Amino acid sequence: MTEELDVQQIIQFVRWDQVPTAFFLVVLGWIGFVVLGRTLDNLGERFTDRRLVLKKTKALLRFVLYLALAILVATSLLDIPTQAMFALAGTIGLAVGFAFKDLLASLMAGVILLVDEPFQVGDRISFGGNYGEVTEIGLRSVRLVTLDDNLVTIPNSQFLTDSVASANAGALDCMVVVPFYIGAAEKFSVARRIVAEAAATSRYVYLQKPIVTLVSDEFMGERFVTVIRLKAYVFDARYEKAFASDVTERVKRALAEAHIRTPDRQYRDLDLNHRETPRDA
Amino acid sequence: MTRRIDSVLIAVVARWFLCACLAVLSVAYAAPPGWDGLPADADAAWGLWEQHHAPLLRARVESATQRSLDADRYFAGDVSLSGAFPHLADARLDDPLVLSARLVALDDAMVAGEAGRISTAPDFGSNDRVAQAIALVAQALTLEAAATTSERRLLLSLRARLTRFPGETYEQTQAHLADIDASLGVARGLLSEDAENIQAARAVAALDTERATAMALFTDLRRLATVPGFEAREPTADFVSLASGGSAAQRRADQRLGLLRVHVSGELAERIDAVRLTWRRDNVLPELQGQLEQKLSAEAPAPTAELEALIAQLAVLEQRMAAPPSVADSSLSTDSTAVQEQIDSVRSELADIDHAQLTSAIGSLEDRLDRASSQAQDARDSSDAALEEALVAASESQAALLRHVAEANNRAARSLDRLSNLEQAVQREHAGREARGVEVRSKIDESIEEARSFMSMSDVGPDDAYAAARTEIRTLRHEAFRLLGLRATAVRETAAMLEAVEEDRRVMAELSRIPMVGQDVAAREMAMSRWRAALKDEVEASEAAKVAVNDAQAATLVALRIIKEGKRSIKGLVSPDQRKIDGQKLSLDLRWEKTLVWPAFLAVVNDQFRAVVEAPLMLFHPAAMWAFLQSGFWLFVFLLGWWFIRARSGPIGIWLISRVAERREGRGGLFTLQPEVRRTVRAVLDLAIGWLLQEPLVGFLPILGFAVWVYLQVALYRLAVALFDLFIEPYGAVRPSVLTLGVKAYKLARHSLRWVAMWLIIRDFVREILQGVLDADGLDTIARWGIDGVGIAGGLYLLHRWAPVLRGEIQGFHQESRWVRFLSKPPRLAVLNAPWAVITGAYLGTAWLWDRTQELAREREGFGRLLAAVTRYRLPTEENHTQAVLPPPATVLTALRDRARHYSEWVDRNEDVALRRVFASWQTDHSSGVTLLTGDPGEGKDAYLRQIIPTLPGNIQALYCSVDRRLDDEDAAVGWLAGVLGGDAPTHSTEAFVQWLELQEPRIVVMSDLQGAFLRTVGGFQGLRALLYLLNAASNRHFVVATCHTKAFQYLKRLGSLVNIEVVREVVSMAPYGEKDMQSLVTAMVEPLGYALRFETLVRNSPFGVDPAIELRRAVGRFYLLLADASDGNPGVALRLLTQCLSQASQPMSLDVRIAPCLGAGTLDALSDDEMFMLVALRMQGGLDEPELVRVTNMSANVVRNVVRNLLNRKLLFKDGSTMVVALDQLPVVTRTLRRRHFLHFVD
Repeated sequence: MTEELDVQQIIQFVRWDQVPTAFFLVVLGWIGFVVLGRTLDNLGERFTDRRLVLKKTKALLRFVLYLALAILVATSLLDIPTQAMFALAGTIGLAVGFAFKDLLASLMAGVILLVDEPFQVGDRISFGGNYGEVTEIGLRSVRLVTLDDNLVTIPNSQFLTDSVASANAGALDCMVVVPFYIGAAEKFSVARRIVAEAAATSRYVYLQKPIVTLVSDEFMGERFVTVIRLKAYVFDARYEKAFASDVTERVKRALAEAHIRTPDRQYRDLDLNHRETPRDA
Repeated sequence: MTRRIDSVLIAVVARWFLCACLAVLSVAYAAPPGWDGLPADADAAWGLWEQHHAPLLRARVESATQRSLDADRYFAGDVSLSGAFPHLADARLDDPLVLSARLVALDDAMVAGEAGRISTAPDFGSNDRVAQAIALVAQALTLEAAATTSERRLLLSLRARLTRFPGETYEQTQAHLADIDASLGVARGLLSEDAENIQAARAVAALDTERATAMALFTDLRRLATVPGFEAREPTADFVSLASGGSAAQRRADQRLGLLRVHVSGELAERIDAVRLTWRRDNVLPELQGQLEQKLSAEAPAPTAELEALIAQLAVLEQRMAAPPSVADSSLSTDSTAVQEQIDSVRSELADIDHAQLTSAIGSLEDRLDRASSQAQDARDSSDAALEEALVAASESQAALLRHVAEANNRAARSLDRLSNLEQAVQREHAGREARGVEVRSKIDESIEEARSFMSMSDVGPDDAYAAARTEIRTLRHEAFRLLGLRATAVRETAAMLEAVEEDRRVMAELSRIPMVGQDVAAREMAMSRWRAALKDEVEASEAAKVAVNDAQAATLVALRIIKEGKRSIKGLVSPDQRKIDGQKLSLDLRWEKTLVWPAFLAVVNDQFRAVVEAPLMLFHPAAMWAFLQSGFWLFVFLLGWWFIRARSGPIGIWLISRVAERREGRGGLFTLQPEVRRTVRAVLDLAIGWLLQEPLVGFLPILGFAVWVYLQVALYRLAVALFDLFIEPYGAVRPSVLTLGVKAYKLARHSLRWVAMWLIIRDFVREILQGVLDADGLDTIARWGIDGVGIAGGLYLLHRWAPVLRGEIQGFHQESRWVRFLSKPPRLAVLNAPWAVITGAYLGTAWLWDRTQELAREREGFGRLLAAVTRYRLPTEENHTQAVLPPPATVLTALRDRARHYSEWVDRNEDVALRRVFASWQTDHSSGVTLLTGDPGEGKDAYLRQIIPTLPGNIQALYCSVDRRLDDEDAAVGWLAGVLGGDAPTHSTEAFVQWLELQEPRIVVMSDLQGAFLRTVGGFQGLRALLYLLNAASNRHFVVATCHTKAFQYLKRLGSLVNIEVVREVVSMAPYGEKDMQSLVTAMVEPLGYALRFETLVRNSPFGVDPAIELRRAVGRFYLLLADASDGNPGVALRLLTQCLSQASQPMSLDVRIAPCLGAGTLDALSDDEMFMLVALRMQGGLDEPELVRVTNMSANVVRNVVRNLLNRKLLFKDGSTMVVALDQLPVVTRTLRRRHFLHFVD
């Protein structure tokens, strides 16, 4: 009975004459979203170095537009007196609160994400076993496209409780780490120069930041190997894997030309030598 | 807590008791029998009336008569309270609640009786019967009213008495008296021990006063005999002295009337005074006189036996007896008795002494005693007369005193009542006014919110709120006017009251001078103190009433001001109808404002004065002081900052000028503007900080805020004048300025500025005074009309004076423009001078702005980039040409392209300065390292070096070479360098080659295209590393200069340790050409060909009648500006672009210049990532063949081939043999595109 009464009361509060206005607002808002999104995307492509800023602006503007549109539609469509609003808040608010608890939590988390900025649109993040580029921070969820081109949707509220790693943190460039393994007995200094040159000559490298190579000896399984880790920046995070691939390709080619063997090859050669030794002997 | 509960319980019980009393009294004081219950038949009704009602009424008449008589007897002192008022016998008449309940019961009974009196009598058959019945009823009611009047008077007196001493019941007063007596005993004991103990003396005095007050109440209560069981008691000791004369009944009557007298006035009061005075004179005074005579007629003392000794003793006694007795000496009779006793004792002692001697002595003594007695009698007689006069005077003064005190009490009571009523009314009105104000303000706020929002959120329109505000203003005005009248009345009444109080004080002074004795003095002092208290109450009540009226009026005026402010704030939103209503009510508003303007002004002044006066009191109020410190801190900081910065306006001005002069070379003349800049800075600081200060000051002390506002107006005026002096100068001034005017125009402009500024300030000031201070909107409307009228007239006059000046100015313009010709002529009528001046001024102003824009665009100052767009707009592009254009002759194109390789000789450059410096250093120590000249393709690095190197001093041989192939490794580098240097250079090892270099004669080695030595691949830098090593080693003996593409050098710089670029000690960059350089270059290239460039097609007619020659000059400047921008200052690129801008002209040997699309600032569209990477590789290294592109980009050969083909098709590349090169004319757009797409991210 009370619910029926509430529904009737709510119907009384609707301004039916404002329905066309509200509809017009919704359509206008939708067109605005589309135009805004496309404009900012095109601008981002034309001015690549400002792409992330434009994407961030787009997310923020869309968030604000969502809220503004919701408020405008609600205020134009509903004419709820203050007292009635307080009265209804007790019943409807409770029901809506329970029904959309998660949604509201995600909404608030979205606001926090926009303010706190643990990552931004365009960033490459790693979250919950997924790694990819953030394409949208919405009212309810964050969407990211993985390197396998899968679209992953994650509720905003999860970002408040779990840790998230951002590779570029708002910058267009991001660091790429590529390990190279050579035999422990190979000329590591030559290999290291090759790795550095391969990174420096790659078409994807970002030269405003340093190229670092680190050499270490490690056990890989039962084999003792020399690892050369390349830490370099790619000028656009979207070329991250292409950069790694390009550098790897160049390094392998150069290592082969310099007769520097991989651990497998070195051990295989050693094994052969070992087997042949008795014969030689 | 317990006491609180007790009081509540007592109150509840008392109320129940009162209800019970009322129930009893309602029976006792029932209304007279009415006409109800009588039959309709007249005779029957009369019969019933005669037999039943009439006897009852007659009985009530008799009862009322008897009650009246009993009451009179009570006040005459003949009967007791229980005898006169039996129903009051057991009542607690010392309880105000009981008294109030009794009075309410009396009122109810009287109301019921009066209702019966006015009801219509039934028909008794004749008028006589009806009249008889009515007369009987009226007689009964009248007599009962008279009977209750006495009782009411008694109850009112008692209640008034108890109200003055609330809580003083008989028992409490008795206990209180005992406490006072105890304290008094202690204090007197202390005082007797130490007569100089001031505190004890004060305590005794205070306790005496307190005891007198309590005693008065105690006596009144006791004498009223209102306390149950007290009536049978004997009079107390203090009562005896006054009760010795007259009968006890008379004394009681006197006391009761005295009690009653205080609370009555008029004829009854005078009658009571007369009766009491008469009684006192006739009874009390004779009694006192008899008492005195009785004392004086005491028996004379007998002589004593011890003759000689006793004679002396008797002499002493005689002297004492002979001394004149004082009126106030009450011990006279006691002394006589003592003397008599002494005489008796002397007589008994002298019983055995000689009888003769004794007899003679006794006789002598008796004679002396007789004489002494007669003398004493005389003295007593005279003192009796004085005593009688004193008693009369005391009695009269006592009566007058009591009368005055009663009058003062009445006046004070009336004043207090009036004050109470006034305060309640003010409170009610204030609450109502506040509620109405809140309602109106909410309406106004809602309507403003609605007007601000673009969607309708509320149903309250501005018109509704405006009308509500107007209604409220009308109400408040009436209220203020009524309070104005009340205030006048209060002032008048206060003045009258003060006169009465002065008169009372005068009477009081007279009465206090009358000599009194004993308890009369105490009674007088008590009455005086009561009188003074009453006068004080009256004065305070009157003053409080005046203050209350003042406050109410001020609150009303404040509310009126607030509503008016709200009305003003919404005025811009209301419909014209509401403004029309305002206009109609203007005269009414003016009349109201005329009435209220002075009170409003006084209220504001009072408020401000009070705030100023009370401000120091804040120092003693911790909370207020803390709040002041909190809010005043920032105020203080602002003030301090204001003072500090303002005092440094001079250095700030110099600093600003220095900054501008640093940024703009050749602006040292700006320092001549120091005084103007200082004035401007000071005015800006005043405005900025003053504006920040004004708000807190208005909140803290509005008058200070207003003062700051006035100062801000002055600062605004100063700023306007300072800016004028800063930017505008008369002809002949030596300092820089934005605008230069003729002397006459300058003076007129300054005069106009000051006039307009003053007019604006006065306008605002008057508005602030009329609206903010006097709250007079109507007056403000009238004043604004007047001021605006003056402004319009003054403006017209100024324009009239400006007209000839502006006309003279525009006459200097090119007269081809129709507007210029039109405005250069004076108007036919002098009255048209003003509009003429407006049009001319607008024209000149726009033309000036336009010229200034063009100037800035040409100079690339300020918003140069933005203004370049304006420049582009001003040049017609190819789309504007409708007719087909013919390309320039091929000979011209070929010649331009060929001669472009030698263009540097026509342009002066500054790069050689650095080069010569390094060369001089090398000549000194032969360790200069490698010098690198960087620049983009087409910038003429090699041509420039070939021009400069021969001019270097020392006549050293120069060797020119170019890296024409990739140096893949160290051997290749050594081999190539050995080949270049020639001779027998060893190539088997680097060290041997270095040693050989050191043995050679010093030379200048000029090495071009260093970027060709490396390839952007793994291992592609080995040759470059070796070459740099060799060049560095060679630089110890030779002067090595190399050239390299800028992008390649920037790439190499970021490779860090991969390429040791540190061997390059000096890097000289080729500076881009400006538009003047471009113009020089193009002129030098075209003129030798015998052709002339024509820019007339670029000229657009100016809408402002500017001279076409000036326009042509501007068009030329704009073209070269665009050419320099489009080519990034690269002369080679610029010449390529120029060939696209030329076309055959109609005149022989001349070429038309047009704006080709290549001069645009756009970017390339639809380029894929692969194409971008390809262009990056080519842009960096200049030229690469396809296999090299495959290695550099690490793309497959097929992809590279496709990409190259696409780029060739788009003419972004051209093929030089097998090498792909970015087309020179496409170099800027390619660079621009790559940079915007972030692919060319490694360049600075």
